[in-house]
This record gives sequence, structure tokens and C-alpha cells, in this order.
Amino acid sequence: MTQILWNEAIPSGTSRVGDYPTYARSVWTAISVGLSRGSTFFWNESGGASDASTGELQPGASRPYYAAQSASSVPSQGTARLFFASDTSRLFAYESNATYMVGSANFVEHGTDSGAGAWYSYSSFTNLGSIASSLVTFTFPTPYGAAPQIFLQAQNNPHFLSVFNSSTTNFSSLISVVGAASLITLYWRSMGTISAW
Amino acid sequence: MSSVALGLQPFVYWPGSGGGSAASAGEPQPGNARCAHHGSSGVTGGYGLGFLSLCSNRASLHHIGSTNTFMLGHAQMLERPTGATYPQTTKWLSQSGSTTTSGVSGALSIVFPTSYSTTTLLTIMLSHDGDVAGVNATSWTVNLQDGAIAASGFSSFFSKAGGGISTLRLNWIAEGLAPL
Repeated sequence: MTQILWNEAIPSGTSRVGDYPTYARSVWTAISVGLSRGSTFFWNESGGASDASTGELQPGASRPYYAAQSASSVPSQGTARLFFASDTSRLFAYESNATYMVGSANFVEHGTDSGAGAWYSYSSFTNLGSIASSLVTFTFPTPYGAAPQIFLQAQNNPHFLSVFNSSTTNFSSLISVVGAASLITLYWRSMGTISAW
Repeated sequence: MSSVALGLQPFVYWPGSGGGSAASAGEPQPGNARCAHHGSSGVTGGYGLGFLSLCSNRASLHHIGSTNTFMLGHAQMLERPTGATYPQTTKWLSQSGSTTTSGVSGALSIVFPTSYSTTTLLTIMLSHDGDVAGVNATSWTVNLQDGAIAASGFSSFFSKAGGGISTLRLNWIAEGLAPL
């Protein structure tokens, strides 16, 4: 391990004044060289480490907290700091009001780039009671940027289902009952993109 | 000199003996990573490559590049309970699409844009458009073809009942592990 070395006994109280300039320069050089070799800073001006300018972070020098997830707790001055859980491979961010998971090795990624927006998926179910063949409309909590794909599943009795119409704000499903009116609970899932985050 | 080392200590870790005064190489302190912080309107870039930013609206993490800004993760992303192995060579991948046919019955073959790592797909969901009541009443039955689910795609049977003029639009979504 490269060390930043300086002798704190020099200059002593009886050292000649003339000795100090040389020693002082060696200390500054030792500090800047040591910090750059520790993969923390790089000095972005000419002259290298000895003529230190603003010390910018080395790429990779940002280091999240690293421990088991159970050890995660908001530090003082915690806002916008990161915590990586070594046992669950999750990345957490400390916001001012709460802690949020912002990354995981098991996240699901969509195969198509959403551009400036994001992929959104809603799922819900509605107990429609006992109905005959009907046209039923469901509204999305947040509008999509384009009409999303809809997936339907009926529970209880046999029904024919189809997506009659879908828009950015809602979709309608045609429900055809086999035989007499019967109970139906409709499960649905929508998936599409929102235009802006 | 001690003041310099001690002042940097919240950010830099001195692994050598002697603490702040007998300083060794200053390594990044675990926890020193601190993102830029802003609301949605601030996700516009303007930082150097490799910088991270945390959007407070949704607690989303962004890469703020010099030419592009990408969202890397956020608190409402879907997470699978298992699947990733280490070193990580696969990821959970969701793909979706739709195809249409005006046929009466038959099979539709779907090729995934990206092939999965295994044939064990967790989810394939089907749905379809078409009138099931009224003058264009047409009922469709769709189902996955047995033995025809592969890492690269699947086949689905469809069958039309009724005399309507509807065109079948088959919506599908697949989810499984794919190469990273």
C-alpha cells in the first residue's frame, strides 16, 4: 500500500526558517500523490499531482455503504447516499423522507427501450357480480403515452373475453357469458410506456 | 498535517496505522458515494460521464451523462425473488408483442426478439381483440401449443367461433432469464 509519508517532527521548534520551504513542498506533493494513488482523486490540471488543482473524483471512487441488508440505516447527512446490500445484491438510496431500493440483480428489464419515458404496468381485478354479456370499461390510474397491451383473465364461470377497445386512459372488455348470467371477477394487466418520467 | 488528514476522513479512509496523522493511502470511505439530488425537472444532464443523480420525485437513480441521461433504477421496478447467479451472466427480461390474423383457425408462431437462456419461461400470457357480442360477434379461443414453447419463441393455436368479421389480434408477453 502506497503511503503518504511526512515527518511531523520536522520542522522542529528550533529548525532554521530556511528549511521550511523545501519541507512544505514535499508534504503537499506527498498528500496529492498519495490521494491519487489511493484511487480517490485525480488532478485535472497540468503539473500532475504535485501542482494540484481541484481534486476531482476518480471514476469508481464513489463507494456505497457495503454490508448485509439488515445493517442499512440512514446516516447523518444521509440524503442521496447509497447502500449496497452484500447478501441480497440490492442497491438502496437514502432519500430525505425514506429509504428506497433503486437497483437489484433480479430486476425485470423490458426488451425494448422506452426512450425518454418508462415502461409501466398496472394490474388489478374487479368483481363484476352476476352479469350477462356486457361491455365493461376500466380506467388506468395514470395515462399511458400510447395505448398499452391488455391481458385479461376471468375467474369463476366460463366466459369469453376480448379487448374491445384500448386507449391511453382506459380499455373496454367485451364479456360474453356462456349460458345464463353468472358471477365473474375479471383480472387484468396492462403494459405500455409513459411518455415522460 | 493532522488537520488535513482528519478533515478528509469522512470521505477518505486511511488504512495505515496511526489514523489521520500518520496517514497512509487515502482510499474511498465506504458510504462516500453521494448522488446529485433534484426533482424531475432536474433530470437534464449537464454532468460528466459516470455521474449519478437521485430524483426525489420517485426515488429514481439516473446516470447523468454528457450527452444522454438514463434511468438506472427506481423504487417501483419489478424484482424477481431469485434467478440471478453470480458472477451474473443473466438478467430477467420481459418482452411483449402482438400479431394479427384474419384466419379462422390455425397456429401462430412467435419469435422472441431476444432469445432466452433456457426454455423455462416463467410467463407467457395471451390476450386478444375482437367482438364477442353484437353484429360482428366472433369468439376466439387462443391457447399455447403444447410442446412448442422454446427459448427462441412459441406457437399458439387459435380458433374462431361465430360468423363475424373480426380480425384476431394476439397480444403476448414473455418473461424469463436472458443473457446479460
